[in-house]
Amino acid sequence: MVVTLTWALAATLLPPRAWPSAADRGGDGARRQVTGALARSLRSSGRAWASFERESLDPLSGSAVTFKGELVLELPDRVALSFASSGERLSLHGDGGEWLQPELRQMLVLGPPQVAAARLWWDALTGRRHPEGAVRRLSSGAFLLLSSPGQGSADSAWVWTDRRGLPVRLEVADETGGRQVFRFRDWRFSRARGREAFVVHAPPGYRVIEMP
Amino acid sequence: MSGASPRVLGPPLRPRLARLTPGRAALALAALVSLLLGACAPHLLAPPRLDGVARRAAYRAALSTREARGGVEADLALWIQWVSAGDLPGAQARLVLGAPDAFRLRIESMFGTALDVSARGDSITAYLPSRRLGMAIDSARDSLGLREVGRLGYRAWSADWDPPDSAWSAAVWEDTLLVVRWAEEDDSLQLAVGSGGRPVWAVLARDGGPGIRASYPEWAVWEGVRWPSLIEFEVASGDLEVTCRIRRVRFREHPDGPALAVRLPARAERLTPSALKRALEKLPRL
Repeated sequence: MVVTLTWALAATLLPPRAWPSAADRGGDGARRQVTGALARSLRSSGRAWASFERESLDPLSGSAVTFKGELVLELPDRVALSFASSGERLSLHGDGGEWLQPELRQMLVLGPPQVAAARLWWDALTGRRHPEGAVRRLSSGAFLLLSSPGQGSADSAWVWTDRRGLPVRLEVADETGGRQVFRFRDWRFSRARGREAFVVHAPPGYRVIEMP
Repeated sequence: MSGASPRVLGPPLRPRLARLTPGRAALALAALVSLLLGACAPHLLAPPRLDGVARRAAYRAALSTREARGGVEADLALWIQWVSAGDLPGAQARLVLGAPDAFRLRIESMFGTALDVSARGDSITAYLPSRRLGMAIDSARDSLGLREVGRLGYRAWSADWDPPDSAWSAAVWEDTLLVVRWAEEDDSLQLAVGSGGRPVWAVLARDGGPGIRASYPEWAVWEGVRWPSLIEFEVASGDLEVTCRIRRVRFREHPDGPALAVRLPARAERLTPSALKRALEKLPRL
């Protein structure tokens, strides 16, 4: 059912040339292509980071909203996103994580349920885990990742890779009309800095709330 | 005239100065400077207090300006204290208002949207995307005991309280506030108007139900229109308090239908109001 609906959604969103041929549908080959280059570079260097623009369609105004930020990845399970304009930071490490929200002067300490949902697509990009093991190659450099309805509202995402195989675009849509597009550029790799570099500490005066 | 020295009352000044340590001297100097600066500073004059007629006129003029805008789109920060839900984190939200009786509130979460609620007239729709749970009620009056929920939301968010002329005539002064009381069907309303003609608080009470109080302690100007920048809602039973910091306001003449309407996806599970309330109480776990 989920797959059917997701494909129906894809039919409305993707240009015809992006539709898969029968030979493209499936499994391990597509999985290696969508994650291979990034996973290999991460394994050999330890740390990857990229600048990104996150564009989301606001269904209330009908207009696009864009934020700039930086993504940092380290194996085996560390993800950090920071947004320059708001100072917002989301960090995931192991089963824990923090979400720093300067505009609210609060930091949420995330528990395993929130972390699992938040890291779904990032894990898929690094090859650590694929939702339901479902990856579809749509065309050269375009992939569809599928998930079952879980805690997060999105159950599918599209990934585009460049000629090196590194992600240049991640698109996540949900059924309420919300839509997020991450455009990545300037992938860089360096030595890993370890878990401590991913733990966010709340500035003085912030409210710290532990999520169950 | 004799050469005798004038009589000194109390210990002479020089020995007292000599006893001052550098720290005490600095304090004394600071006190003296403060005193002099205070004496020289221009005296602040309180704005003239408007009498009842002038305050009413100022209130109506400002209300007309807000009403004339028709539609509003705003970014909010929300803090909710809800007894049955425990310690809730603050949240960011988007609000759309459509005069005279429609609103939509979309509370953001880490995954996109935590809660999306819209109301128009007597109908209300709510959706929890992360749980795929929704509620759509055509008559909130029958189901929730909330008459004209869309109008109530519009009024509360935009401070759109408009007492009839007869109520203004019977308005009373309570300290510095001009308090107006009136009735609308089963509701009794109170509005306190402060100096400058701005609403300070409004209370709506309903027979058999807890009253709702909306306070407007801070205002700001957006696009030339003065609008509440801080709104506090409180249910009289004490169960629920909501503080809204308005971060940005944009005016639109006519917000279109999609902007003001939550649509429940086909596969959303439709709940009763009480079941949705139970789901909302678990919202911080999402």
